[in-house]
This record gives sequence, C-alpha cells and structure tokens, in this order.
Amino acid sequence: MKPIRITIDGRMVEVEKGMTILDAARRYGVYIPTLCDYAHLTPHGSCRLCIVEVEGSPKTPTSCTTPVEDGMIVRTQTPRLRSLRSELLRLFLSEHPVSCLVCPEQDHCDECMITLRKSGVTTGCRSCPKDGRCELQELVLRIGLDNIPTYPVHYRNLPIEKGDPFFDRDYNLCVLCGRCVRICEETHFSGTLTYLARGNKTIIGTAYGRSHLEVGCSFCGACVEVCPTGALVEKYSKWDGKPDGEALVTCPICSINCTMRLETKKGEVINSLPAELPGKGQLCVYGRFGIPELVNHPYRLRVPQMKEGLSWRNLEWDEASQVIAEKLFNCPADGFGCLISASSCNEDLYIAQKFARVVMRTHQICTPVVDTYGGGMAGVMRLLKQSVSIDALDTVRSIFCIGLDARYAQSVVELNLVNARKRGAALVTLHPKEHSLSLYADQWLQPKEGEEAQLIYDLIRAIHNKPIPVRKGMSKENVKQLQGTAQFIQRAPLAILIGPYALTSPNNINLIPAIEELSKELNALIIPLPAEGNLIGSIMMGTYPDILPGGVIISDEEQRTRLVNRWSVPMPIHEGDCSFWKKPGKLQVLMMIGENPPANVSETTYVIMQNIYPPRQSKVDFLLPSAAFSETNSSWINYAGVMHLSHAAVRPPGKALASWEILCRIARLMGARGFDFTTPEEIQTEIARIMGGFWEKGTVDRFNMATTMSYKTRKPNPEGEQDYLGYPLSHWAEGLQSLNI
Amino acid sequence: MERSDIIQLSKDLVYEKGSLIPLLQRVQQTEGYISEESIREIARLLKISENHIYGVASFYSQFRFQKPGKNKLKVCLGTACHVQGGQLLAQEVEKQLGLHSGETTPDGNIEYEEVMCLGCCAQAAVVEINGLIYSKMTSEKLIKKINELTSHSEISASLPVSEEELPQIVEESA
Repeated sequence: MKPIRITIDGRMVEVEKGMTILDAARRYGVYIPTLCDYAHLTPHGSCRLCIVEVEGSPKTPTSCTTPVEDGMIVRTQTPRLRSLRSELLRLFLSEHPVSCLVCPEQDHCDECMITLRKSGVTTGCRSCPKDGRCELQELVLRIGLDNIPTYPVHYRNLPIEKGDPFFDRDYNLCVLCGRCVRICEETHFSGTLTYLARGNKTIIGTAYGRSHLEVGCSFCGACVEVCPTGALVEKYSKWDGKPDGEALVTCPICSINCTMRLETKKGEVINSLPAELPGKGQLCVYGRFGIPELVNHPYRLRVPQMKEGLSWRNLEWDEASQVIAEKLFNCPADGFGCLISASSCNEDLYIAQKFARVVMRTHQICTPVVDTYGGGMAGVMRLLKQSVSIDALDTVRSIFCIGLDARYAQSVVELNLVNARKRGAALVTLHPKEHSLSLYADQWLQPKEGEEAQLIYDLIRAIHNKPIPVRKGMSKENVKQLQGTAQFIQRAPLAILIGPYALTSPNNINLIPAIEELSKELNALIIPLPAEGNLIGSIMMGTYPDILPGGVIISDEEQRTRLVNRWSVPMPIHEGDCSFWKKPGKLQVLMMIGENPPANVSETTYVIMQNIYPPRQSKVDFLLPSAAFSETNSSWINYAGVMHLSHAAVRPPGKALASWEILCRIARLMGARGFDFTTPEEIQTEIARIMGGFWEKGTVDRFNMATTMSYKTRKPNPEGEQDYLGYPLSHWAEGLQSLNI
Repeated sequence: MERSDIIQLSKDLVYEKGSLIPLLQRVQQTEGYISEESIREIARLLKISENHIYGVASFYSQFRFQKPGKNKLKVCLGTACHVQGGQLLAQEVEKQLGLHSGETTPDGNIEYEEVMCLGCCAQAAVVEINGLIYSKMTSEKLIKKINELTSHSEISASLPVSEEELPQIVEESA
C-alpha cells in the first residue's frame, strides 16, 4: 500500500492509511494534549483538548478522531490552539476543585501539614488522593493557564460514594472523560457504569443509583485505573500517594497466573494492577483488590516460634532449624509426611519433594488438591495435559463454557470472550445457576445440578442428529435448545472452557469423560481453568507419592533410574497413597507447607507449619514464617502449561524466609547433600537439568506428564472460594466477604 | 411490566441494540413510565446491561421512571410567570407537599412538574392541574387548589385531557 505523507508542525512524515492524526503525531514524538483518550479504547473525541489546525479547514478538528489524508498539513501548536485549549481547561476547572493548582502555599503544604495535632487534618490543598498523579493537574501545568478561576465554580456537591468495597467514588472530581464508561462497556458483557441524564446534569453512575454490588459489577478495577482524576480511587492505597517502586509478579490466586504490576512504597505492596493497561490487561477482583491486604496483614508471621506448654517462644533461625533437624533425624521414613499447598511456586514444590525423598527417604508428600478433585483428579490431569492458552479464543468460531462463572474469580476470561463475540464467534454456556454469561450467551444450557454429564451426552446425540430421549422434567423446548446448541458448537474451530465449578463437581468422575468425548467428537481445543495457582506445577515438580519430578509416574523405570543416579539415593517403587495425611496417628512428624493441619491430627504427631499466617487451630508445635509470592523470585506453570517467571516486589517481613530456603537450611543441618541453593535461579537450573530444556520454552513439555494417581478419596471436596496458602482470601482481605458468591 | 407483556410489545422488533428506544417508548406508552422490572426484562430480551438501558433512557426527557401520579400538577416558570412570582408557587408546592420537580407524593396522589411555558403568558402566573390551566395564581389560591386535591382527590382527578386538545383556561376569582 502506498504510504501517506503528511506534514506535522512543518515536518514531513510518512504514515499509514487508517491512522488518526493523533497516532501519527505520537509516532513521531509530537506532543498533543489529551484527556479522554486512552490506549486500547476506541477514540471518543469528548474532551476536545487534542484539537489541531488542518490547513484548508476553518475548524479545529480533534486529532484523535480525524484520520490522516495524503498531503494534510497539520499544526499542533499555534496561539489560537493554545488559547482554545486554555479555555477548555478553564471550563473543566469550573466544575473541579482547583486549590491544588492555585494555592500560593502549595509547595510548603506537605511540610506544614506534618504537625502533631489533636484532631485529624482533612483540609489543605494537597488533600486530593490523586495529588501528584492527576492527569488534569499535569495538563494544566503543561498547557499553562494565566488566570484559572475565570468562571464561577459550579461545585456539584455530590455525596462521596463509599458504600461499595474496594474503591471510593467522588464524582465531584469527575471530568466526564468517559474512560470508565468505555472500559466497562468494552471489556464486559454487562456494563456497570453509564452516563446518567444529560447536559450539565450528566454524571456517571448505575441504573436507579444502585450500588455496584447490586448491579453485578465484577470489580475488575479497570475503571479505577483509567480514571485521570481522583474521582475513582482504591480504598486501600487512597492516601499512599505516588509509589516508589514496582515489580512484575505472577498472581498465585488461580491457575491463570496473570502477571500483576505490584506498586510498592517504603517496602510495602500498596497496589496491584494488571501488567498491561486496561483494555488489554485485566485482573479479577482477587488480584486487583485482595493482594495488598493479603501480603501486608498484621497477622503475618515474622519470627520462628516454638510451642512450649501453652505459650509460644520466639527463636532465631539457627536454633529453630537445629531443633527441627534433631526432631526429623529421629523420625523414621514412614513416620514423616509433608503436605504442601498447590498455590506454592515451583521452587518450593521441588525442594519440598526433594526434601521428603532425599532427606527423609519417603514418598509421603502430597497436596490437598487430591481432596478437592477426589475421583475426578485423573480426569483433571488428562485435561491439563492437553490444555491450550485462552489466547486461542482469538481465533475460534465457537466457544462452549462449562461450569464457568466469570463474574469474580477468573473474570479476566471475560475480556477474551467479549472480543470473540465482537468477531462473531458463537458463545454457549452450561451452568445450573444464573451466572455472568447466562444473559449474554447465544445459548444457556441449564441442567439440574449433577445432570451436567447427561446433558453433554444428549448434546453429542444432537450433533449426530440422533433422537434425544425426552426425560422427566425435560420439555420439547429443551430438546430444541440442544439441537440449536449443536448447530452453534459445530462451527469449527471450537474451544471448550471448563471452569472450577465443573472440575470440582461432585459428579466430575463422569462429567470430565463426557467433556472429553465431546471434544474428541468436535476436535475442540480444551481450556480447563482450575482454581489452584500452580496445579500443573505441583504435578511437574512431583509433589505426589507416585509422581516424580518431570511429572513422570514412579513406575517409569527409566525416569526413576535417572533420578536415583542424580540424587544418589535409593528410590523404591512405592505403592503411593495420597491419603497418608488423613491418618495422622501413624505419623510422627507432619510438615504443613502453606496449608493448615487437618482437623483430626493426633496429639502424638509433631506438627511443623510453614506459612505466612498463623494456623487456624492450635495443634501446631512449630511455626516457621515463610515469604509470600510477592517476596521472592519464583516460577509458576499456568493451566495451559506456560511458564511464568515472577519477581520479588518487596522483602519478606521480619525474619521470614522462602519455603525452599527454610527446607534447605534444615536439610544441610541434617547432613544431606544437594541442598546448597542460595537463589531460586539455582533451583530452576537443577529442575531444568532434570527435565531437559524445561526453562527455555514458554510452554512446558507435558509429554511424560502422569495422568493417574493413587487416591482413596472419591468425593470431591472443593472449598467455596479462591484460596491462598490454606485460607480463603476473604479471611484476610475483608472487602471480599461482601461479594455475592 | 412482565416478560410476556414486553415480548408482546416487541413482536415486530428485532432483538438488537437498535430496538431499545422504540421498545422503551412502547413500554412508557402502555404503562405510563419505565419501571425497574421493565428495564430488567428488556435487558434480558435485548442482551444489554440494565445500566446502559437506564443511561439511554435517562438521556431523553420523554422517559420517566416513576409511576405517574393520579393528579398532575404543573407550575410554569417561563419568563412571564417568573416575573409574576412563579418561583414562589414552586416554593409553595415544596412547602405544602415536599415535592421537587419530577416527584410524586408517596401515596401516588399528586405528581409535580416545573415547566418552562404553557403558552398563555398573558395569564401569568399559571398552574396546570390535570390539563386545566389556572391563571393569575397566587400562593393562597394554590394552597386552596392543593387542599382540594389532597382532600377530594377522586373529584378533581376525573378530567382526562387528550394531548391534542387545547388547554382550557379557568379564570379564578380572587
């Protein structure tokens, strides 16, 4: 295609057809002020600040909505434009408090305000939560205004909306740029925010002034991030001001492992944002608003503690590791058991199983997910072995969601679904209850609870045009709907998303094979989304009695020999049993890593707990403070087998150490070799060596991954809510308790 | 309005975004206002969020969200009426009934609206009650009228006026 030549401020530049003047100016580093414009949002042209002069046109068009044309001569900085822009800003400021701009004492404000007073100080020109980060403030300073309060101030005196959890809304500071309305509309099926009324009465809000909770907001927080002023601010970090650092951290709350940008100040995490700007990046309510409270909670463990009688004694690490090493030294192999959370990072998982196998010479290591999935565990593993990334939704022509409610947990998927819908892909959802997709999907199959598998088999019959038996409670409408659905999902390629509701369904032992058969029938892409932060990681690191690092089954002679040679320890084939930790009377020492001890733990078992929080119940003898996901470098494997590297944002509180480091200390004291790691990267190198090229690839090689496991539990026992290290998130971030789950 | 009623109303419409305003108009025509329930059902039918529907409807002054009152009371605040003390009449309504423009008394008896001109400036200040125009109003006369409405609501409510009909002016003696 022939490039277009335009002149911006006297400079001839080459651009492509379809670009706007603003795009072109930005590409060549020409600054045009904007307020309503935002990356990844469709241009709006409402703030008018980006006006430019185009030769031959008497008007001043907005550059964000005007496409380039060949030979265009554009001027972005002229006295006329400058005067118009100043005028626009003055109009903005007639409805917006201006003390932060005009107060002659503003530079001294910070110093003067820090005085001991008996009452709280709420006045002062620097008392806006967005001070120093406000785009309007920045624009005024950049464009420059001679005399700001030209117009009488029209203060709307709207009450500040504090009723909803997570963020406050002060629409007196709103400049109606519409970014929040647009981001909500463009990334969700069910928009929450909208313009109400019109003219100078326009405000942003919801239908009938209902609360965000009532109207089904998913609290993704995108509106807060895009807000240029202090109208929308996070409750937690409202008064923290500018952050002094940030790090890219992998979210451990579910298997999607989103990358978060954690903002830090004075060694504390103050805010979590998606790595990419809203519109492309997205977090769910847990990742967006649960993290700072989770990792900064005052209950965090800071020092090792030993139970003495009824009280706890604080210890130094040297003494603590010594006591534990002695305890373990006298513990026979089959008297030791270790349970580790599947929301631990790869390094912790790998070292934990190595500790159990090399130091304690036992295979008694497990994660509690065997309980969560029960009889369906093998099915879940089969799904995970063939799973693909949700990016695949960008190319499919039909999507079938099974048991997926994208309102709160895993709401990030909604963005992909919305985009797929915009492309024209068909969307079918199967869920017994009303959920975030039920209103907007092309078809909502609503089976009774427990009858999901049967419905899928009926669907397969419908695909083959076979008659569908009309069962009790089924109407002709249902049959018709199934035939309609069959039409939709036969549009190849098809992606099947399987949410936690289906994976942990009490009937998962039948439901998962039904899904597999359907996917085989239609050659579908499979996207299972388990709730655990590192489920594939726990399998690949080998933290199960009969699974070794690499995810290989213990009966695999070749792999076992390789490991025996590398670690130089005997490793008998072991008839593993994942329920060893449920018969704790047999155990002398039970080590819980990021988990709470089971309720029925025997009095004679010595319980060592490593966690970031104190235990739920008292039967714990030793407490070791560990580092949270935001405090160490680590690696994670998501639902699609993609490796994510995470960086430490802050240092662990007090004397807390990474789990792997604690275990290495104890192992060294017990005289074990192969535990001389000082950084997580060294552990990663060892894992890579065992698994061969494991870290070079974005996607983990799951060829050898085990899909069977010996377990006795049949009935799945899922926890109702997203959890991290043995606790539901709302236990620590209380705002989450108000969500309608 | 229930789902079946809305389906009935939207028989000849395609279920897509563009049908929103015609459907809202029909609902208002049938029921006199847009209820929360109607918006919920429209949302399900057209697959648009309730908030967006409310946003669209609140943009146009033709849509209302409260059940119409039994009696309609309008106070003119146009230029001539303003000069003749229309604002005082508005204040009187607030004092007597606690109503602001666009509100209805809790018992649904009187619905109050401030309007810009009723087209009979020579008779300012004017008040319209149930389609009848009362001219040269004062606070005292208005109180009398309001008392009539509140005590004998069933009597003065019985004068339906069609839109085409010219308002009939009632000369009030002082």
